[in-house]
Amino acid sequence: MLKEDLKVWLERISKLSLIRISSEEEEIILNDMKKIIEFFNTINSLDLSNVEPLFMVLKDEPVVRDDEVGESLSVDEVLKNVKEVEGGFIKGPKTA
Amino acid sequence: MSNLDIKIGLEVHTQITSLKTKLFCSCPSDYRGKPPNTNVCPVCLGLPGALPVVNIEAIRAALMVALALKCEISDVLVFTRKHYFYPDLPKNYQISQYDGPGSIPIAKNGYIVIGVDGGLKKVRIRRINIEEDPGKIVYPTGSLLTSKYTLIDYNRSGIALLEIVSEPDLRSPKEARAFIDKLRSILEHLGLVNTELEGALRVDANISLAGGSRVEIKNISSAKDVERALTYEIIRQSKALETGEKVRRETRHWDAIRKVTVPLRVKEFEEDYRYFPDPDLPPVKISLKLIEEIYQKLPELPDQRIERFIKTYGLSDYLATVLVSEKVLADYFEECVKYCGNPEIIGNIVVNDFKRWVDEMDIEVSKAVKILTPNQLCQLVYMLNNNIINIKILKEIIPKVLKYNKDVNTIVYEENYIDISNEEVLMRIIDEVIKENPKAVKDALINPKAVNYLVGQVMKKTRGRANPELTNKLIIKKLKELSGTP
Ligand SMILES: [Zn+2]
Repeated sequence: MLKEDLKVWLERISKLSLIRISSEEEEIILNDMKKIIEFFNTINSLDLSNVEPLFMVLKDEPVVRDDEVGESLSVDEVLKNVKEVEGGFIKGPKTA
Repeated sequence: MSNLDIKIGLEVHTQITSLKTKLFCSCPSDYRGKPPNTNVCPVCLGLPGALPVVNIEAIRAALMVALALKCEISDVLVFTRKHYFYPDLPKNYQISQYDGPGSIPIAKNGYIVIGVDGGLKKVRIRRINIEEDPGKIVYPTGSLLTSKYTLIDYNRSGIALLEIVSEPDLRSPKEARAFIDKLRSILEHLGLVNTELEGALRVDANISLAGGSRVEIKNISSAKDVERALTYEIIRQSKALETGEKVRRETRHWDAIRKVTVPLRVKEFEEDYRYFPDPDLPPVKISLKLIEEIYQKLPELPDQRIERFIKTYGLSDYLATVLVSEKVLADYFEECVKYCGNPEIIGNIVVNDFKRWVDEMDIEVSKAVKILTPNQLCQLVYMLNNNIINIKILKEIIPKVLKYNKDVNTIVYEENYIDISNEEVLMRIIDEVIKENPKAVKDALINPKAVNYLVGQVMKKTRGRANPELTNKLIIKKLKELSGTP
């Protein structure tokens, strides 16, 4: 991927994730991404047609929990970091 | 517009209400009626560092539904992050499932059989996802459109949901309703969902007409409203197409109060949820042994139950289907029959009178069966079979019991509902009616159909208590006497 394409990609991804990126940060991220893509290009040069893709390793013992009720937080703790509260509800932005 | 030009697909979100806790944390699942933000923990609030762990019973529930809907089941359970920003979503992503690289839904490619115009139709299921419910938004003005801000309660955040998606195989609003009714009955029979709970079952519908575009309708909360919202959209879209207007590809919101769909604000750019497998949740192997074990324990499902009702009780296909469309109704029918037999009479009363009035009065079936209990209904059937009341009176009593929550016997005796089958008593009333209606008598002497009017007058005088067959017979006899023919 060319650096110009990467710039378009970064703009899109920062917009999607609502993260503002400064020009210095942009430089760092673009350089990192270039390295990452080069790394994947190396993998791509191998013949992997007979290898099943692996995304995650399956554990022998599943990490699950029983359906048993535990402790919830007190409402004071829940609302500790909240800017605006109205009648126990957390105030949020308009949605439409 | 012919039905063939309409394509409807449904996305049903159902909470697994049988669970005691949420999907990824041990907060209680009974969030309803609690003060806001009192049923939460670091996991379902999405606090940094909190780690989700999946509820094993949620997996079992999903597998039960997958088997009941004849799906192919994945050999591994993978959770995927779906990213979007909305105030009800504390982590800014929803833990869900996805069909794509590294991800797979728990189940795919199933079907549901629905009854359509006397025939059967297979509606394909595209996939089933296990996912978490977001929190609940309260709009200060009561409406999403006019509120200047939102109020958020995270008590519902993290409740286990199943998202069941159909292929666009449905061709009319009526079929869409039949699909939801059938799915609801299956979920009830599996013992997983109490669909009477507010918000337990929510539907998004997509609909396209030939020559138009795909329109999605969000926020529909009942099968009845799915039918209404789709009917509204068909009219709106066909009007637009007729006048050459373009039907935009868009998402609309169902306003259940005004009974219209309204467009939602157009998004600035195309939806991109940036799906990727959730690194906090290691995949869980789904073994054949587990699937086999769950399959063995599946309870009787609606289709099997309908068949049994027809075979065992001699019910018509129609009666059996209506009864089984709601598990509570079918259970009620069987309890009554266990109590006093008479399956055909009871089947008819439950479907044509009980259910009809319950719908009309808008009471929950589960409440209504506690008012007109099997014992009470059986008393009515006894009185009917022993000619203490007639069927007409029985039909009048049922709404009264439901409305005033009164004992059947009290109503029958206090309101003097006992059937008049005493010939002497009836003849006295008939003589009165004949004296008062000379013209009708003249008509009846020429035209036998006019006898009905005289029967009606007798019924009126007795407030419906006169035995209709006997009255009819006695009037004809009396008329013959009057005309002098033997
Ligand atoms: Zn929690």
